[in-house]
Amino acid sequence: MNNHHPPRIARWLVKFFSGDDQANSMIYSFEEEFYIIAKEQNITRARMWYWIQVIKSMPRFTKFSICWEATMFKNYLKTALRNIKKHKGYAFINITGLAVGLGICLLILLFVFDEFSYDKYHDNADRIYRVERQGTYQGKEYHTPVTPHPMGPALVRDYPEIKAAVRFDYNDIPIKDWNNQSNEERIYFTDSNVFEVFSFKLLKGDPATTLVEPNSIILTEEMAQKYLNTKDALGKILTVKWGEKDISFNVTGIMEIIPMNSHLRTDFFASYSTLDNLYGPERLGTWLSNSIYTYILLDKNADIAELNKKLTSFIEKYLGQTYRQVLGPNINLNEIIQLHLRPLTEIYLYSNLEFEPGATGDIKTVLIFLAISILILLIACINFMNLSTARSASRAKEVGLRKVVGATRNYLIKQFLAESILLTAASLIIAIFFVLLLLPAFNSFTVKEMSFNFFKSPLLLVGLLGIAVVVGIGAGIYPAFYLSAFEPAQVLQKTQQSGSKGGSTLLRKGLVIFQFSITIILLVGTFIIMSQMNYLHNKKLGFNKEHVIVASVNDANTLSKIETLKNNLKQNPDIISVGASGRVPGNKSWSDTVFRREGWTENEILIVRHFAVDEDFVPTLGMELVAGRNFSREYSTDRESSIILNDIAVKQFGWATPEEAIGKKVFLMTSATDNITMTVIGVLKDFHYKSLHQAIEPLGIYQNPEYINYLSIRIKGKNIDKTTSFIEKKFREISPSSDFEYSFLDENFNKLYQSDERMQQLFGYFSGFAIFIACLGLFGLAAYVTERRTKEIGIRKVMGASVKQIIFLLSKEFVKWVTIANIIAWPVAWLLMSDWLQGFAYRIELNIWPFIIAGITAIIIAISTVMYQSVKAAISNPVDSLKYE
Amino acid sequence: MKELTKIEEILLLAIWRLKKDAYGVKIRQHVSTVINKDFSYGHLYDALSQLEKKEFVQRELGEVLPNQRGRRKNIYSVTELGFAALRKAREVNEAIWDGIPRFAFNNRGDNE
Repeated sequence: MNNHHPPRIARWLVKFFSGDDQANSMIYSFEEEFYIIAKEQNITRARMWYWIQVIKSMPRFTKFSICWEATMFKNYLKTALRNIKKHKGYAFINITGLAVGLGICLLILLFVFDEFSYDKYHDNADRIYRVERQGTYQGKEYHTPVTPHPMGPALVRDYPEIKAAVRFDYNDIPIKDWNNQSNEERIYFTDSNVFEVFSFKLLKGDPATTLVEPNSIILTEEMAQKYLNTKDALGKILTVKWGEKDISFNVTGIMEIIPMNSHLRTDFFASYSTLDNLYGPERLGTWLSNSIYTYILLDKNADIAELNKKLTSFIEKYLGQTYRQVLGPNINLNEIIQLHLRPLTEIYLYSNLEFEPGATGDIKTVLIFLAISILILLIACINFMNLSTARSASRAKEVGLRKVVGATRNYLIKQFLAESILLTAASLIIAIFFVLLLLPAFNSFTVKEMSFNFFKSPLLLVGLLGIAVVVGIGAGIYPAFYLSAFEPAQVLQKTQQSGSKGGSTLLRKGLVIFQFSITIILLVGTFIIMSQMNYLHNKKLGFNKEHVIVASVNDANTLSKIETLKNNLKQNPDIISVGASGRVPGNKSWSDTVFRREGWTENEILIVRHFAVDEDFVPTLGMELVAGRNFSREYSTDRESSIILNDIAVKQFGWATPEEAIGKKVFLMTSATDNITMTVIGVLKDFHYKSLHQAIEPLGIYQNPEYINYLSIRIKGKNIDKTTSFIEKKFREISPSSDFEYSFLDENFNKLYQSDERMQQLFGYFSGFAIFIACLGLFGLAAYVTERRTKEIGIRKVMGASVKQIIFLLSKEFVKWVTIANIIAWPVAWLLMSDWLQGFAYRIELNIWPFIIAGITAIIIAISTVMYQSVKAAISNPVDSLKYE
Repeated sequence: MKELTKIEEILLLAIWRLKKDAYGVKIRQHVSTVINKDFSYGHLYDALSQLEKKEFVQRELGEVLPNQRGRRKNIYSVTELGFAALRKAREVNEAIWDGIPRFAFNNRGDNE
């Protein structure tokens, strides 16, 4: 009979839900009846009866246990508060550590949620796709979001599952304000169904008709105020400059500012039908030029994979003929161009193509952030666990006594958990203040407008409470089980307590080592990022980027009088030289074309980046020629058919030395058959015209006054403000109405590393916080260990140990842990950081120094944290310490 | 003093009747028989603790028996306050039923 047990799970349920008060007698009753049934009928019946009885009793049980817990909760709370008061120091360390950890975690979670929220606010978000083109042309892969004008309407016409298409064509156009001043703004010309597909909000105007008529424009209230001096601009006329002409737009709507978490943001929408007049039917009808964004809205039941397949025939139908005409009859159309449908909500985080409509994020960064925040929270939790178990010795007596007086283990576990949840809740409140304090700085750092508002998102509040409970339980569960397991007879009898039992010390050591490993990894990361950034800023770029002002040449008028402008500028003694060019180093986009050289067959090509310059560009930027000469006014052919290549281009063309290339012919292929012949007159030493993330590619520069976009002006390092205003004056003299835009070459170049720099700062902050939290834990632990050894130290001193010896004795252990942490952290950091460095074509060699510096820093920080406690113990009078206890 | 609910009344009477046997299993069996349907333990212990709170019953631990791992049954008994409540309940009940014969509702009870 006795080997037939009642169902264990059911029994446990009874125990769990009944509350401690009645549990025993209830189980007694259940069991007695169970055995009666088992005896009279059979064991299966009895089991069934048990289960049915438990399930039937459930509603009452629940009520029961809630009443019971509510009563007990008051008690837990009281005990927990008493304990916190009694050990203020530990509570402070715990709360501070957790608060900082939680604060960082919250900030990063805000950031991560914001990154993931991009474009999700559109009602149709899951059905909108962007049409992108990708393929391989002449050995070069491309992937771009820009498409031809007629594609959108054709897609809707041919495929019933595509419900609508919206095109966006942007132009940066000067707009005249009410004072007749003009400013360049980005205007998106878009189809009239934009409000049907996207959830942009109109404050005034009818969404269905606002963008139907040509020359209709919608703008935000701010822009209406700026350009028309009224918020209520409906029906007013806005004048923009289209080349030399003035064009009037009717304001047919006022829109709300497009939310920050949109990949495409603008203050102006103009009707697409306006383009009929501006571009003309030929430009709007061609499938060859790609300049606009096409978004499609799919039917609810559309099968995206099926649609992707069908698009191959779409390309054949519309592009086949034109492409064969231009590129030759034997091309592989499928390889050259494919359409790719990208979900709207993935554009921001997953797409980082050339010609994106706005800045994009990076899923990798988001994940790194998330990982780091979790690690920091983990460090904080470990502190908690560590301090709680370390103090187990001092609490063992308490536990023992409680048990003797009748507390069950269940009760003790709940009590310890209540204590840790209470501490977590307190930390959470501090963390929230911490976040509110840091949020403005964090916002400007991440260029976001995140807010932290409970009333706006109840989900946030629930999430926070969730975090408090999860962290509280997560950090408290181990100490709770560990502490509640003490046998009262043992702990009360022993004078030397069992606080440093083998298992728990090992775990505690492991946790400290783990904490410090993470800290060291972050430190090594910081050092390596720092030295790589240092390398980037100081690397010789092959030209002199200091003291060069780059001014844009925007309009045809300035372009035609560029020689006059250059001469005017040179009158100022602070201006050393002026050179014109189509691109300047630090630009993001570089055009490239297929080149051949003399002696090559039809199959041999080289893709060469190129831009136009004048005679003064190379000396102004201080570039070096390794062979040949610069462009010169003395040679009339220089203006038409001379080219200067860089060293890489010479090598890839297959010439052995730069000298060999001089005088050779290269052909710039304008189509499959036509070309422009150019003679190489000089070879430039390789210079970095793009960021150091990328390797230097073949480059050619030639003269063409029509393709000039910038003037580079080398100035002396003093009177910079005066010189700048002088330059502006000279520009205005030539073209009074146009904008004067300028920047500094070195700043432009540094901008290429903005995201890397942000990474550097973040790593810096994160490792700082990680060290702070880890040190708090170490400090607490050291305080504890020293306190426990007070007697030992007293005896040692009496026996003649010196202060130094005792400090050494106490610090030794911690140094050992941190050293082990180093050994674990180094390989991990090495792997992570060499992966990060792979992203740079030009990078530092990983060497041992950052690791050693990080390791020593960690050890020094650890020692100085522990030192305070050790010294305090070492210099104390042995008489006092021996009186202890 | 509050009115007794029907279930409290049944429980008190059961406890009084069972005397030394007034613990979980027996009380539940008795009540189940009286009301002629299964009366769950959840319900039972809930009602018992209500009675205890109102001080109508008191509980003491029974003796330790083998095979119960030190668990002991709770034996309930009716307090003075409980008896007072029962007396009052009986008065009320008699008042309610006064003059109504047993067979009054045997056939639809139309008494024109």
